[in-house]
Amino acid sequence: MKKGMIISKPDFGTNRSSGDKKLGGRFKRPPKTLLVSISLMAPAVSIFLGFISIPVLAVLVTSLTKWTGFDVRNLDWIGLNNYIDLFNDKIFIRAFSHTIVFTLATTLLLNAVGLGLALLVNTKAFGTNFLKAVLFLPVLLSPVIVGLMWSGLLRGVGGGLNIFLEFMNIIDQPIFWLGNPKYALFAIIMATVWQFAGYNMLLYYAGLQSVPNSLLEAAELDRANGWNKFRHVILPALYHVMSVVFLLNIIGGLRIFDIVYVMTRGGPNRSTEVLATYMYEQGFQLNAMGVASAIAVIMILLAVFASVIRLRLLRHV
Amino acid sequence: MFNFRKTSVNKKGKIYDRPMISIVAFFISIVILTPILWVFSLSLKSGRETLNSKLLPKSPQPENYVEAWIQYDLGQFFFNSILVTGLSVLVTVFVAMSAAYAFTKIPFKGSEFLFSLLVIAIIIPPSALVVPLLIEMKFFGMYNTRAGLVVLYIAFGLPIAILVFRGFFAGIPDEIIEAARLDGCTEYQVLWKILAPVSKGAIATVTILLFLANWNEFILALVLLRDAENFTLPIGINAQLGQYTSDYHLIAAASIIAAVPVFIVYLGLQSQFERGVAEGALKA
Amino acid sequence: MNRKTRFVIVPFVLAAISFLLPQLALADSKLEYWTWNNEGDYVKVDDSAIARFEAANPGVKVEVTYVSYGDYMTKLKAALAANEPPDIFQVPWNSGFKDLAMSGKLEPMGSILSEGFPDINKSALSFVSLDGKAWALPLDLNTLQIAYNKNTFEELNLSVPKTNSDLIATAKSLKDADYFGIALGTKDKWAGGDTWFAQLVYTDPTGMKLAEADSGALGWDDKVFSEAASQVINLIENGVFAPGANSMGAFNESLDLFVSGKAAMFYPVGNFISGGIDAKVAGEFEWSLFPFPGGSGDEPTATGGIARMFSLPAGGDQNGLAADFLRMLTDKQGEEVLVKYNFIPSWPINVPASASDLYGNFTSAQLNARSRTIYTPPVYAALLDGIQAAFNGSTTGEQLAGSMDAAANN
Repeated sequence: MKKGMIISKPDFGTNRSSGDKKLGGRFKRPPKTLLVSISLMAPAVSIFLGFISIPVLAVLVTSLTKWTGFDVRNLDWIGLNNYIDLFNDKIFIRAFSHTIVFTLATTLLLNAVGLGLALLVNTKAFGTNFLKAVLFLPVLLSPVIVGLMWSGLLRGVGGGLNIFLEFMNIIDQPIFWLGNPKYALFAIIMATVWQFAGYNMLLYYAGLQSVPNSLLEAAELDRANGWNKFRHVILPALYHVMSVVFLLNIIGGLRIFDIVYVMTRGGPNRSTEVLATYMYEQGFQLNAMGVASAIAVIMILLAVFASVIRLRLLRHV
Repeated sequence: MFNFRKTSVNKKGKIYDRPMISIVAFFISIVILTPILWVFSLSLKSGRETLNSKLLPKSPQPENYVEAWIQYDLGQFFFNSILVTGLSVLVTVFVAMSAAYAFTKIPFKGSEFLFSLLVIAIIIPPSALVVPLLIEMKFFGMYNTRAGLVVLYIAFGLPIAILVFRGFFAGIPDEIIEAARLDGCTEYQVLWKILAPVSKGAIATVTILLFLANWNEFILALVLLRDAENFTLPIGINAQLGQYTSDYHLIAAASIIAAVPVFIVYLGLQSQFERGVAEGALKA
Repeated sequence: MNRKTRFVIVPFVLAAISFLLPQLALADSKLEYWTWNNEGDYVKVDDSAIARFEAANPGVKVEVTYVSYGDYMTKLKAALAANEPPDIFQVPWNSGFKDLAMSGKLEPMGSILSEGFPDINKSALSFVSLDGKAWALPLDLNTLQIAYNKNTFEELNLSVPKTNSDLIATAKSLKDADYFGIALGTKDKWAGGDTWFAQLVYTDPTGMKLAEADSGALGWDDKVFSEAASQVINLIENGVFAPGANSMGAFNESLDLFVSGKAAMFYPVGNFISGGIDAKVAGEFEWSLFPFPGGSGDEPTATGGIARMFSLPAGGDQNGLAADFLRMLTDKQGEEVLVKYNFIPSWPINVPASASDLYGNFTSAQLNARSRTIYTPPVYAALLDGIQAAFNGSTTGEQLAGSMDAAANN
């Protein structure tokens, strides 16, 4: 009770002991402070409740119905049937596994490439500043144009990549990168890594700036080799950044839509179908909004699951 | 492994310092740049030339940019994008800072739970909620309005913004805040007079993250904006794709124009951003 | 926030808010018109109708909104669900139309079409009718045929193939001369589906089974359906199509192959795109059309259907004006404009003597053209996936028809 008074009482003095400040710490607060705290949170919380929670609940509800999506009055309750059908739907299972593969592959590649590039740029050798600027350019382009661009470069006839490979005598027949189920998902993963490697690089590069030089020099004195230095000095310093970068990459991977839609429309023969494209097709092309909602719920659950795993894995790095 | 030793010594490297690193950097730059140069070259080609795969246009046509601007009515889309992205980022930053400050520096029983609830929303894909959001927006009279889009971008931007600000604020010693409080500052004053000026790095981080996301956002804008006069750039440009044939040279030019503002924002905030991340803006 | 930032931010916020406030409606009334045809000669047809309509109705402006084909249904669906549909909108011919017609969001067109519209062909009218009501105005008809490069064919002494074995032989000669066969893009899945409809013309000479299966009276595993798929697969295996079909869009990439001369044939082509091809070819070679061939002894027959159709919103308060606009597209002058740009009106017309060869080809092909529509979305989706699989060499005719049957029974 006395502790709180220190805050609420106007302080005219200039002499404050550090002890006083500690007493004014984080715990007991007068109701007025509580009100202030709540009023500061209120806008964020109400936007969250209004525009995230309610729609999530609505999707939960519509996932239990058969609905074309044109008119809310025409909902037919069908219980869990949409979910049961989905798990018997081969296309859904494929979309699900492609989403997992895509997310894992892009997350791992983006982090490896992004961190490697950040270390490269951080040497600050001649040319790395230019590289840093160049790396961020793809991030700025909209996924739609990136998709169009890669569709052009990966064209079978007249595509840049094939022309290059033919020129280097690596292939003699054109490879239809996006027309072949063996390569299509791989091509989309590569296009995504190309686009967002710069993003990860930038975050890691910024993180590297917090590694004190004294630490690096100390490691130098210990004659630590490159790997040990990386493992024991650099990686721990990047841990926090890495945690956020993983989160961003995972959620980006799980919701991937635009680039797949533009490059392959989920084809050929569903070999690049992911959850978001399948949801889009069900909801807007096949008018099965109930099924689309069920896919949405599964996407959300998957994302929750992934973020829990991420916390588990990265907590003890 | 790279040589870390000279990290701080050589601010501006010379080519003969570490030639291998420079060469590697150069090659990676080429790999990254080639597709972009291809788009750039495409944007300078004539309509007929878009068919052939030659890298360089016969005679560059910079007037494609003017043509794209006029023919696609890019001015209107540009204006809408700046309006929607600018306003949504601005409001998100303010709202998120307030909330993050309350969560870190004036916590109360249950606030931690509220925080984790808010942050879990980071993972929710907007595309999953498109239809309920549409109906909700209609209910509030915000279907087909730019204001409606702003509100949604704020909603989907807040969680990550709060996360970043909370991580940053957590690193600011309580002593500074207590001192300000004892000086008679209200909580609002502490936040905006004391914390905000030292949070430039975090603000820059959030601004860059959100600006990028909102500027290129597609699906919400597609569903929520009905009339061309409200379209943002991504859907405005996408609307130009034809079913049969597309003027790819103009679309390429339009896309490059569309990337300019993000580039400017990035350039302007780059150093603040790097400092912010280094200072712990990405501690989650 | 220092003074400089405030100086930037405050005016921006004020300006932004003023723009976000609902803007007052303009005094002039407007008629909103949605279409995905933002290219080729359709734009000219629309422009002419708009000009005449605005002259006849001073104070009313027609506002055209183009939505790209891939996003059109999404956008229309959103507008319908929000109860803010456009005053006139193009509706897709594909399987989505049935749901749209049954959604209760479209105005029945029967009474409108009975006043001041030409006598629409029965077949066209039945195409847009469900539950005994017409839900759209079918404006024009199309046929889907194979386009071929006349110059290349002459150069290699090739004649127009009449049967599938002719077609295979033609493709072989082309390949020997370093040309591709038929450029076909199946990334936009529907174009692949059309090869199946083209073969179904011959495997089901009655022409009745498609509609029967679609209504549930017949299983999709019927022999005519699997046989049509087997025919397509046979053509694929014999190298009739340009490689990499699954990596190409229905028009953009595959059309490039044809226009650049690399592929000597292109499918599917109808009057909807002939203007676009002419513009791209730009006189570099001559081209013409022939129906997708079938077995020996079959009379070559094109597939076809409605090209563009338009609906009005249920109970729309501008439906009277909207109908007037549609009349501008279908009256005598409207008809002349359609014919001028090689479109086939969905009502009987007298083909003018001055009409082009291409137009003669279109109209004669139209006379016996066969349907290319499956109204049950999952079945249609199964067909399209199956064709993509066929192009990857990973399905048989029976498997394809079987998956359609499974989709119907699900």
